[in-house]
This record gives sequence, structure tokens and C-alpha cells, in this order.
Amino acid sequence: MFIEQLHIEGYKSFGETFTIQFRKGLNVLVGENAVGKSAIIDALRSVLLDDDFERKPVSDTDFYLPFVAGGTRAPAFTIRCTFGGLSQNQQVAFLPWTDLEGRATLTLQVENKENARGRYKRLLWGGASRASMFERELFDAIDCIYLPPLRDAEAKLREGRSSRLARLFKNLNRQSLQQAKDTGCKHSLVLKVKNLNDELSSDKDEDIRRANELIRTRLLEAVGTVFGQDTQIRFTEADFSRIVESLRLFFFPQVDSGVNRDAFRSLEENSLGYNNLLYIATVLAELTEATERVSFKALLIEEPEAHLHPQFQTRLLKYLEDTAGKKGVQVIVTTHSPVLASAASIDSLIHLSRHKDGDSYRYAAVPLAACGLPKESKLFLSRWLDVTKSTLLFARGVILVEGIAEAMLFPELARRVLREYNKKQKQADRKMAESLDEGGVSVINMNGGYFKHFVQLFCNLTNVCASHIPIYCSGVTDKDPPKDSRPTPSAQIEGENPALELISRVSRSPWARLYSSELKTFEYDLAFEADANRDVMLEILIRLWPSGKEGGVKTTLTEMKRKPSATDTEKAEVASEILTRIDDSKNIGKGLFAQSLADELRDAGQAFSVPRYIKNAIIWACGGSPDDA
Amino acid sequence: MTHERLVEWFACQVCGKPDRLTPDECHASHGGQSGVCSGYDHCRIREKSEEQLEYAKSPIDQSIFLKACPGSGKTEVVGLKAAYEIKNWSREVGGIAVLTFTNNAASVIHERVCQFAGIEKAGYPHFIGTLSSWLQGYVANPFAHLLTEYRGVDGDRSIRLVEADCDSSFLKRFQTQAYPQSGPIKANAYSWDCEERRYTFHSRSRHVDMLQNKKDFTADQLKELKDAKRSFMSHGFASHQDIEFICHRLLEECIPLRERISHRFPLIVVDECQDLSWTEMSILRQLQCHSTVLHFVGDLNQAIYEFKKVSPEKVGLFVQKNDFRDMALTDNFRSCQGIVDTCRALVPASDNTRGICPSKLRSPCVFVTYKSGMISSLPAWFEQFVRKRGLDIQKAAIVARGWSTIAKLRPSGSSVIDKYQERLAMSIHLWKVGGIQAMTDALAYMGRFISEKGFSQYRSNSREYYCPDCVSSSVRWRLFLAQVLDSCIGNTNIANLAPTWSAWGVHVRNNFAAIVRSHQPMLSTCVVEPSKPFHDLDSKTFRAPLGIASKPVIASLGDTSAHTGIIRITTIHAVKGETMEAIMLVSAPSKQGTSDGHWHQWLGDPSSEAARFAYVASSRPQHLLVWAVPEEKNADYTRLEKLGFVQHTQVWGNSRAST
Repeated sequence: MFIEQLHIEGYKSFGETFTIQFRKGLNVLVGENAVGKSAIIDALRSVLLDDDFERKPVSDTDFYLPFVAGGTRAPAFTIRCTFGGLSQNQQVAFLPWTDLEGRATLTLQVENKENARGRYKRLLWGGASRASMFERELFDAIDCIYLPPLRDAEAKLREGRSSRLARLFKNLNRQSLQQAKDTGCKHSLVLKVKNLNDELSSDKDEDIRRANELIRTRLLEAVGTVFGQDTQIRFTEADFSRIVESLRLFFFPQVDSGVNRDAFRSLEENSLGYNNLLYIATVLAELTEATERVSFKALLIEEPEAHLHPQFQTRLLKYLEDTAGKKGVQVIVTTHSPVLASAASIDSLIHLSRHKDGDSYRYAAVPLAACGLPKESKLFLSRWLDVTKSTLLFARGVILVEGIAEAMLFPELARRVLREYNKKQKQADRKMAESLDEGGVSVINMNGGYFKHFVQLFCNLTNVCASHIPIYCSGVTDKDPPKDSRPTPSAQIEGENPALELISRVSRSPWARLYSSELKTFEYDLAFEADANRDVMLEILIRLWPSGKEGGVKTTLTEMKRKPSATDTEKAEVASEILTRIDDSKNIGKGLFAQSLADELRDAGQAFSVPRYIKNAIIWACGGSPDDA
Repeated sequence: MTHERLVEWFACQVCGKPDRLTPDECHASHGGQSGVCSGYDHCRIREKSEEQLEYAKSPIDQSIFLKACPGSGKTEVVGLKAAYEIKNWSREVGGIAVLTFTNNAASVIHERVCQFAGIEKAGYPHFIGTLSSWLQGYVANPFAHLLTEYRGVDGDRSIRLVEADCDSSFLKRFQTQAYPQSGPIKANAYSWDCEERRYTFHSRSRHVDMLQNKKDFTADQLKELKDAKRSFMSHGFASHQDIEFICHRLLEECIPLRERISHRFPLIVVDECQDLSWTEMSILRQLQCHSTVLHFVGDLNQAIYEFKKVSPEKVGLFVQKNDFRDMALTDNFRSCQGIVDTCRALVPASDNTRGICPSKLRSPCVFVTYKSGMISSLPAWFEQFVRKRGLDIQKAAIVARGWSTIAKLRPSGSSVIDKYQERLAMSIHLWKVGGIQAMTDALAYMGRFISEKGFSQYRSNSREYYCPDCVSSSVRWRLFLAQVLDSCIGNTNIANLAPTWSAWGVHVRNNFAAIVRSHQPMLSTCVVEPSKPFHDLDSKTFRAPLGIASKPVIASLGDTSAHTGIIRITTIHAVKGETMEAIMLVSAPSKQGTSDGHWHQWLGDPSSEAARFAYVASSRPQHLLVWAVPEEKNADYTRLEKLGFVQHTQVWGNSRAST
């Protein structure tokens, strides 16, 4: 049994109906800030948790309020969990909650009306109707634990009423406690503590006994026998709850070191990261060892990466994934960490985004598993979605490029393109960000022409019905005619890049575009575009070309720079020369050249003209319409 | 097993009696603390008879029909049985359902189960409650929409119950064309009879129902009835009869659902099984066909729900046909032998029943005759009669078949009131009378009146004093009604019911609407949509009832001067299953207008329902059974004497004419 779908309406930022699909096992919610990740977790907590320490009390801010002047809060909110994967027995047990397909639903509805005691009217029901039988035991069979983002692991593990350790003990001992209650005997732990207390207080030589005697006598002397009280000094009350609530966890920074137990230290002295891991381990122990009649176990963690270094993040995620699979716990985590996102399997990622829609926002949740990725793409992406590439999951717009040169130059080119674009826009609301950073747009270097794998995330290239991530994505590819060709606008040469055939299919999608260089390749097209481009590129080449080298390269380049290109053929010749020299990795290489060019372009006074296809790609990824440029 | 060994077995299994103690020793040492025996002066298991324990130990893989005579401790045995099974329950999923016909019976059984099993609550996976709440909770509400295609409101597809006699204007959306004799028929007034495979009618007008029930409908008319019903149900409405139909149809058509419910409730115990309708039985049969085991407990001679088309023959046939094993409880622990014998003579011959209760009175069965017009003096007389014999007046009751007889006996008689004008008048009258029963009735009458006059576009909930759907708090609604009633009493014109209907009607038209409007603001915090102010009543919406316009209002409310004492006066249905010290069964003054309320009818065919009514009522008392029959010329009272009744001649004040 697991949560298959969550439906939210009128809650927090979700004004209209919002649904999100989950899968069995691990689910990782990714996306930029303010796309509803925490609201989803809060919604789950509201409906599933019924725990004094963890349940989220309803407050008036939980009711949706539109971002308009004079807007009013929603009159009610509804949160509905749909459970799938019920076993035959669960279908029978959860009968009134189920539909014919054997799915179960649990609905929470809260009305935005406070009663005299300031409580909101909460309605909780299973299945289609509120009037159906609601068996409390079924609700209690749901075991859900929530770990907040700013968790104070130390406090949660500390002794006291809300101690996690105490809960673990209580859960582990539920049966033996019941047995003790039934037979009227004391639980073995209680007996042991009682014996210890007895021993301490009765042993004549113990100071405890002496101290107690002293206090008693003074008390008696002070108030006399009528008002007197008896006293006893001991470790804790001989009551199971009290005992386990006063237990504490200690640590030693090595496993199995054979060290004396006295060397263990209290958690105050431990690192934040380790305490967090200890905390999560305690919770997992509680969740996986709970046996009694629990039909559904869920663990909700906000930002498990908190306080952990990258390697730990990866380990933790793999462990959670493993536990989720083996122990049948559904784990739902939110993260802003590309480390976690890249460690998780593609199928467990759920992308969240929001879009302005009139006065309100529309929210979308897209499981990457639902993007219709063909098997080979999935395999490819799993391997390639590393820490850097995973940033695409947190971006507001994405530009996919083939190599290091584009990745380095696009941020600088974008500054120029966007400045120019914004100048032309008369209405203030059509203006865009001044840079890619500001616009939350990531340039993702695919290190090759792997568009077909990546672009499937943003638009459907297959024939099967599939979802896609609703953020603007543009791809920039080289046309790649034969290596020694020198195409010009009037004498174009057919490209050989396999990505070219995707262009028309991609452009049918509402979110993705693929743009190809007009003539040959990135650097060729840059150099061909304008004299200013040609000059600055030549200058960099001349500067970078190793001076110790013999040969006329530097001379040729200097010669070319001195003489402006008059015709397209001449331009093509120079562009071709520039490309050849940049490509010459022994002497310069694309990376070094791109970095130097980017440095030059940072100076806004440097004249440079950006080819149209690059402009289009930048404007599209930033959410503008290329036609307005 | 012998009785001794059965006692030993249950004492160990259910109460946890230590092996080394005998049941009596166990009671002596543990009895005071244990939930089972506390308050009892002997071991609770030991007092059970062999046949009671035999049933409690019976297998649950086989359907059983337990024939239980009146006073056989049926409830106790069902409680013990359920407790025993619950304690030993080991199935991974599913539980026992113990189904009854009244909430009262359910709570009594629940209490017994908890005592015997030593638990606080017999909850999940088990269910103890009424058959209708079980059907609604596990079948109709979760799944009805599969059949009705009701979309629900705010994700909630709960069925909205509409009483069959409701006449609110929102129902106009769901009615047929006008028929010559009845006008348009509203969809709540009829339902599909699964047994006879035709529509049956049960609106508030008996006359119309009889006509319609006889009628053969044309194909067009049938289609119209069907369409109206479908539209009614697809908007989430249903009458009680519709719910049975829905459950029946769902289980018939949807095999996975039948399987799931059958697994969820592998054992269903039905108490008072003689009251099962054909549809209810065939719902249970569908589950039995799958894997559910049925235990029916009841007494076919106590079937008094013919209006629900319940008949003991059908139940008898059902258990015969479907492999039920017969068991019986033949000891009557309730009544003394005299009453037992009289009761047995009323119905077809059955097993020998022993009266275990010792007789307190020399003649436990008494009959009196009353003069027409003197019926209202019966309660006062009976009260004295009971007191004189040292019986507890709290454990005595006066019962009659039909509300019209009851109305003559008590001031707050319901149900004879079926005109809206009378409801308003009765409500005000009862509010003045005071007392819990009267005030409750007053609120219901007032609720219905205001609901029909001011909120008729909404469905109203008869269980919540006709609180209309648009008012979300039934508590507020009740307070509102109470304030309206207080104001009515405070208004000298409306409060005075002595004038004629036409005179009183003028006052109502002039004052009532303003009173309601003055209190309406208190509903404003809980109305779903702003309600219109209560409109003025005019001569169309409130006129004097036909034929009695010149009579005093108070006169048509029945004999309101009648007895207001503490003795309970109620219907036979209401005392079913109860134990009393004394009962007076009052016959209707004449045979007119009743088919089963007059003593001649009770003594007619022993297999008729009339005889069973008399049987149910007469088998309630432990020590004293009184029949009050009208004084008739040439009546053959020896028939009563043959049944064991002794005539009591000194009835009340002015001594009766000698016989």
C-alpha cells in the first residue's frame, strides 16, 4: 500500500485543484523555491499525521489567498490521498475506503470557520462518502513520520516526552507491555530499574541512602509528623514511559573499535551532521520495526541534505532508497540539492514548477518517470545526470548546449541579447531578466549532441502519451556540414548533425525549441556574423597562439585582421581559419578560447554581434518570444 | 457436553476463571471486580441454561437458525456468543457483524459483549449495530455512486436520505407527470421492489398508494417512473427503500464487491431475524453464497413488520432452503407460567416453552372492559392497579397498536396529526404542556412546519427536527425552534387555542411570520446560502382545515385533558424486545380503520399478524398482563377466559355496570 496520488485544493498556495502522482518507494521532489514542495509535505502531514508532537495545527494561513488586492481566503480546503497497491487483505480491511479497482482514498476537509475555541472544523473520511463507516483503527494503521528541514536532531534525541528514542522503545515493547498489563506483572525493564533503585536506597553504605535520610530528618524537624512528607532519592520513577523517556543516546566516532564504553560522549559534543544521521537512523528503526497491524508506513523528510557533505548526502539517499524498497516504506523527500537529485534514480524524481496564469499561479508536478523516456534515454540520463547537469531540475529555464565553448560564452552573450531585447519592449511587464542568473536559467553542457535524450524531458518526441516538464528549454546545435566546407548565407551547405531532424518535431511543443547554427558551427557562425566579431576573435587567437612556435600562423592571423573581409567568400575564409585554429587543441583549444572571449565580452563597450539562432535560443529559454527580438 | 462442563468451559474461556476454582468459588472471590459478574449475586455463566451455552459454543462455519422464545435471554446469549468469538478471533482480516433492527438493541448487545469479553469497545474489525447503518456504512455510502452515478458535493458522495412521505418543493425536480387520481408522483414516494420486480408506493397518502400499487402501468408510465427515480438518485438522494434496492443491486451485479464484503464479514449474526425483509434476506444470501456464515436469531411469532413486507413464512422458508441448522431456546426466563401459557395460545402451536419465572400474583392475566369515551381514564386506573400489586410503575407500560389509540391515551400522541395547521397548533399546545416527550414532539412539529413553509426548496432532516440542508448546525436550528415556540407562547393570540380554527387562523396569519423572522438572524451564522426572510402566511398558505373551521382548535387535537402521569404509553413496536413487570394492552375501541388493533382481530387467525401483535405485547410482562377491551354488546368474553384471563370488574370511579 502506498500513496499513489495526492489531490489538494484551496490549501496554502494551491488555489485550484492540484494533483501529484507518487510511486512506491522513494520519491524525490525537486524544483526551484516557492513551487509548493513544502506545501505538499504539509498537506500530507495534515491528512496522515495524528500525533501530538507532529501534527500540523491548522491556521488561517493554510487557506489559499490569491495574490490580488482585496482577495479573500478560501472557504475550505481539501486534501485527498489516494492509496494504491493494496493487498487483497488490505482491500477487505479498508473496504469502505476503496473503489472497485481496489484503490483507497482518505479525504481531509477543513472549513475556514473558527469555533468558539479557535478550532477549525475538520472532516476526515475514507472513500467516496463521509457517511460511510469510518473505522478509526484503519486510520491508526497508517504510520507516518515527518522530519522537518530545520531539524534539531539533538533536541529530538534528548530525553523527555517527545524523545524519539522513547517512541522507539515504546513501539518495540508494545506487545510485552500489553502482556505485562494483562497479567498484572511488571515489565522486565521496569523491574530492573526498580531493583536498582531499591538496591541504591537500601544499601547502608550508599551515600544516596544517607542523603535521603538527611533530607527526611530535616523535613521532619521542620514541619513535624503531621505535615511531614516522606522522601526518596532514586534515578527515575519505576514507570515504563518515564524510564524510556529518560534514556539518552551516546556516541563514539568509530565503529567496533573495542573501546571502553565510558569513552562514549553525549550528543551535545557530536557534529550537526552526525547527529542528523543518528536522528534519521532512530526514526528509520522506529518505522521499520513497528509491526502491529500497520498497513502503511511513510517517511516525509524535508531537505535530508541538511548539515551533510556531498558524499554523505549520496550515501543517505541510496540508503533511503534501499530501505524504501526492502522494508516497504514510502519515502517522500524534498530537496534543493543537485547532489541528492543526481544520486536518485530518474524514476524517483518528481519535478515541480509554477507558472503565472492571470492573477494566480498554476502549479505542476511531473514525475520524470511519466515523461515517456525510452529505455536507452533513461539509462543515458541516469549516467549523465551528474551534479552539474542536475541543476536543470532546479532551473526556471534551460539552454542545452553541445560543448564547453557554448557553456562558457552563453552567459555573456545572453547579457547582450537580453539588454537589446528589453530595450525594444515598450511594456514593462514584457521585459525580461538582465542575465541568465537573474532569470534562473541554466546552461547545461551535454558534452555532445545528446539532444534526443534530454529534450524528451521537455517535449514528447515519441508516439506514446507522456508528460513533460513545463519549463522553457532551448537547445543549440551546430549545423555541422563537412569539416572543410566554407558555407555562406547565399551558398549554404547541408548539415550532417543528426539533431537537425529533431528541429521541426521539437518546435511543435509548447515548451521546447531546438535552434541550429545557420552556417556551420558555433565559432564559425560567430566569426562570420560581423567584422567586430571577427576582429576580437582574431585578436584573442593572436594573443593566445604560443609565440615560441615557428610557422606563419600568427602572421596569417595578423594579416587577416589587418585586412577587412569584403565579400562573403572572404568572410567564410577567415571564419574557417579561426575555427581551425580554435579547434587546434594542441595549441589553444575551445575551452581556453571561449574563456578568453568571455573575458573580452564582459566589457560592455566591446562591440560584438550575436547570431540570430543564439538570440532566439536565449530569448526562448528566458520565456520571451523570439519574434519580438 | 453436559451443562456442568459447558459452564466450566465458558467460565475459563470467556471470563478467565482459574482452573482450580469452581464457578461459584470464582464468583465469590473475583465476582465483585470482574465486569461480567459485578452487580450480579451469582456466576453469570452458571445461570445460563444448557441450550444457551450450546448455542454460544456452536460452530461458526455453519449457518444456524436459533429459534428463541420470548424471554429466552436471547440478547444475553447473542452477547455471550459474540464475546466468545471476538475473544478467540484469529482471522487476519474481517470480523463479526452483529446486526439488529434498533439502535437500542444494538447498544444493549454491545454492552453485553463488552462485559463478557472484558473489553471497552467491540470495535474494528467487528461491528455491532443496526442492519440499516451497516448497509449504509459499508455498502450504500461507499459504493452507491457506482450505480446512481452521483457526483457528490465537495468530494463527498454521501447519500442524502429523504423520507418517503416528504413533500418539500425541491422534490418537484424529481416527479412524474400528473396522474388522474394522484397528481404527479415524487420519486421518494415509490421504490423498486426487488422481490416482486415492480414499483411499490409508500407516500403519506395510503389511498394513493393503494391505488398505485394495484395499477398496471403502461410502458411510458414505467419509463417515467424510472427516469424520475434515476434522476432523484443521481442527485444523491435516496429513501430507505431505495438504499435496500441499491445494496441489493450492487451486490448482485458487482462480484468483486460481494467478495470483499463477504471477506470483511465472514460471520453475520442477525438478532430478531423474523423482521428481515425479502430484500434484506437476499442481500445476506448473496454474501452467504460467497463465504459468509449467517446466524439468525429470533422468534417467527414476533414478526410485526408486515408493512415492510416482512413475513415469518418467508424467513422460515429462507432458513429451510439455505442450509441453516436449527437450534432452539425454549426456556422463558421472563414471564411466569400463566403469561407464558396465554401467549402460546395466541399463535400457532410451537415447542414447549417453560416459564422459569415464579408467579408473584395469583392471577397474572387480567382483562378489563372500557366504555367508549372512557378510554382516556385507563392510564390512571392502570397505574393504581399496578401500584396496588406492589409492582414497579417504572417497569410498566401501556401499549396499543396504532397511534390513533395511543393518541387517545396520551396528550402527545403523534402521527394522527397530518395536517400542517394541526402540526402548528399541536406544537404550541405541547410546548405549553411541557415535559421531555411533549417538548421533543413540539420541536419536531414546529421544525416540520417552518421547514415546509419557509425552506421547502431544501431537503430537511427528519431526525434533526426537520433541519433544512441549508442550515449547517442542527443545534442552532433546535435553539431557533425553541425561541420561536417561546415567542408563540408569549403571544396571547397565538397561544390561545380555545377559539375556532378560523379565528385562530387569523392570528397566525397576522403574527406568526413576524415571530419567525425576528428569530431568523440567529441562523445567519450557520446558513450555507443566505436564506430569504420567512414570508407572510396568507389565506392560501395557512387556512383553517376543511370541515372543522368552526370548531375550537384545541378540540381537534384529541383528548388533551388525558393522563399526564409517568407511565409509558407507546406502540407495540416500541416495546419489542423489552422486559416489563406489567403491561396493559389496549384494544382499539372498534374494528373500524384497523386490521390488527382490535381484540377480535387478535383472537382471529393465529398465524395472522394481528395475532402476533397481541403475542409480542403479551409476552413482555413478567408478572402482570392486562388486556383492555371495549365494552360491546353481545361480546363473547369467554374467549378471553379460555386464554387464561380473569376479568377485573372494579374498574374506575363510577362502578361499571355488572355483567
